[in-house]
Amino acid sequence: MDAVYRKELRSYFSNMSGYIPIALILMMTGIFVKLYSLNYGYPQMEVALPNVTLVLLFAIPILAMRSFAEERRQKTDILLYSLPVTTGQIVAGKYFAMMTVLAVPCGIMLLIPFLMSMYGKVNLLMSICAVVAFYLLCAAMTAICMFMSSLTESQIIAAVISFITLLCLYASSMISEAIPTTPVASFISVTVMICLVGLIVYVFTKNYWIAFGVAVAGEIVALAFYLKDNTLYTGLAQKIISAISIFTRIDAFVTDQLFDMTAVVYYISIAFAFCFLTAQVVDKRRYN
Amino acid sequence: MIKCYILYIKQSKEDAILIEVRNLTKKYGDHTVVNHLNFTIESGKVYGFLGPNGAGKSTTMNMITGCLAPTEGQVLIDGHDIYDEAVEAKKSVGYLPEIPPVYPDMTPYEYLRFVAKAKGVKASEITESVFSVMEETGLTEMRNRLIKNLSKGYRQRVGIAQAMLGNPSLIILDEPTVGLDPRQITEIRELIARLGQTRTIILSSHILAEVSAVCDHVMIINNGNLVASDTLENIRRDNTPDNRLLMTVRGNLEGIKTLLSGMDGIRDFSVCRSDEKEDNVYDISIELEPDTDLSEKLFFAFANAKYAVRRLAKDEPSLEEIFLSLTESAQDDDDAVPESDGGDEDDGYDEEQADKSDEKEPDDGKNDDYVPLFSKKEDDD
Repeated sequence: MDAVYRKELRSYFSNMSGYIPIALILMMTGIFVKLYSLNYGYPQMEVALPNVTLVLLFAIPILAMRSFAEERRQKTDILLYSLPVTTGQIVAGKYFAMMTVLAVPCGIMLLIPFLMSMYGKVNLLMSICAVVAFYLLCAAMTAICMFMSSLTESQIIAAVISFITLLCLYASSMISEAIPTTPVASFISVTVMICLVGLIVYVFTKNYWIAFGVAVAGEIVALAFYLKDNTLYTGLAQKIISAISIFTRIDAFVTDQLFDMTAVVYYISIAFAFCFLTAQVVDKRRYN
Repeated sequence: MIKCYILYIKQSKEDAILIEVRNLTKKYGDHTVVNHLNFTIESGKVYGFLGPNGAGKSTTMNMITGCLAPTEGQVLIDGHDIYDEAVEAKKSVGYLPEIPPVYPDMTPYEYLRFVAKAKGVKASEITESVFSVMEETGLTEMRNRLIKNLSKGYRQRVGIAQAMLGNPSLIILDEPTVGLDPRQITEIRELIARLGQTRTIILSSHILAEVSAVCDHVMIINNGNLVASDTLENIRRDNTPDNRLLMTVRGNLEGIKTLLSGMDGIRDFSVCRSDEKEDNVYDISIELEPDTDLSEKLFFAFANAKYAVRRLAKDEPSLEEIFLSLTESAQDDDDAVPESDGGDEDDGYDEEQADKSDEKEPDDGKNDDYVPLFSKKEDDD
């Protein structure tokens, strides 16, 4: 793992792919901290963070797009397979290298509250916790984007599908507001979600019948619950969407001023789950 | 240039079994690329793995090194299963795939350090072992250039150097001389021969000269089946059906026929007019009794009769002919099996053929995926 980690880290800092995400994140942080803290006088820098998350939609896909796609395109994945390292070590090495790159802007962000505390009273702990949460959000997104990169041979396609996925997650709160809370509307949204799950199953198994079976089974269960007691469906779409949304969870750290353990656990679980899936996809390549 | 260094001491040249391949099969959909291969690799020999393009060479190599999972069968390296005990098994193998797996944005030195570390070379020995493989492959001067700026030949060397790191007991080289210029080919062959003195090597190729130059043992694979596995001499002997002499003689047709009919030890002969423009020049094919050599007797007999012997040679099939006959006959057998009509999902297999298709020379159309052996395009940048 150590060898892969060092190699990856070196390559991120020997070309643009490491510096661009760092620059993007720092630029947005600078702009919003200037806006909120210097122009409006908020003492806490973390109020800028929910705005900075927007730039992660670009920064993280750029960071993660080459991780596995480029190995496949250049046929260097064969080297990794032939080395006496496990797939888990390869994935972990690459993932931690990306997290190290992201630690750079987050580390620099941590300086801001200390700088501001020189000029007034700042709740340092709150700011630090918010930056930690931001870093964990980055961790979850990086794992998702790395997974997307493992699916394709083209960096561009990896970046685009990563961006679309993150955009959907980012926009999910807005989408949920647009859906009426009535049981019928929820049932329709649940149906759409089940179809999406079926589609994802098809993409991964390439088996039409399994995907179809999953979708039909899901729909039957959903329909059964709906017919039995349709009040269960009131506001269900919103609940589901807010449960899977990764962006809104950081708000608790900023607006509610609490250290939200569920968010931390959620981010770590997402990161772990997608690292695991990446390892599965990379391992499965050998069987294609 | 020959450099013995400490790392090699451990190597023993006993006839221990290093690799055992059992029933190895790879199918893409309905298409069988590798069909129930069984063979063993003994340590201390140089093996040639020979076959036309698309025969399943690369697929087999990828399966032996754990880069591709077999549909069926097992590969044991030094007693370790390549899947169940992957890390242990892979430590004994250095692999150069068909395309050298190098990172263009790294220098050879950085790259080799990375590979050495990943192969578990001790931190204190990394620098030493990287420098010694660079020395052996002639990379020392190029060590600080980016790999993307290196020529194909040097990239190939980086790939070979990578395979040598960690002192594996087995080195597998998949078509190591493809795309190199003749001088580089000679150098790489010398390197392989040198490596073969201390380690076991499997060399895949479709270039016969290469295999005959460096290999102790040859395995010929065609359409995923092992059609021959023996030393080159044995393969040649087994495929030389009868004791035959070929002659070209200028003289009188009737006289030649009488002379030959009157000689002992000749089973049969045929005389036909030679292609040469002169009159009275004949090509003669003589079938001798087994284990007799009449060449000198024939020469003096013709000389006494004042017939000029222009050529006198044993009719041994060339390696190319043996290779062709082995691979073609197997192909005919395989064509009889309806299975070989090709699936849709055999991407790796077809790509391999597609890549090579531009190297094909016009053929009689009979053996579609055969590339003439010595006319391989040798381009270099």
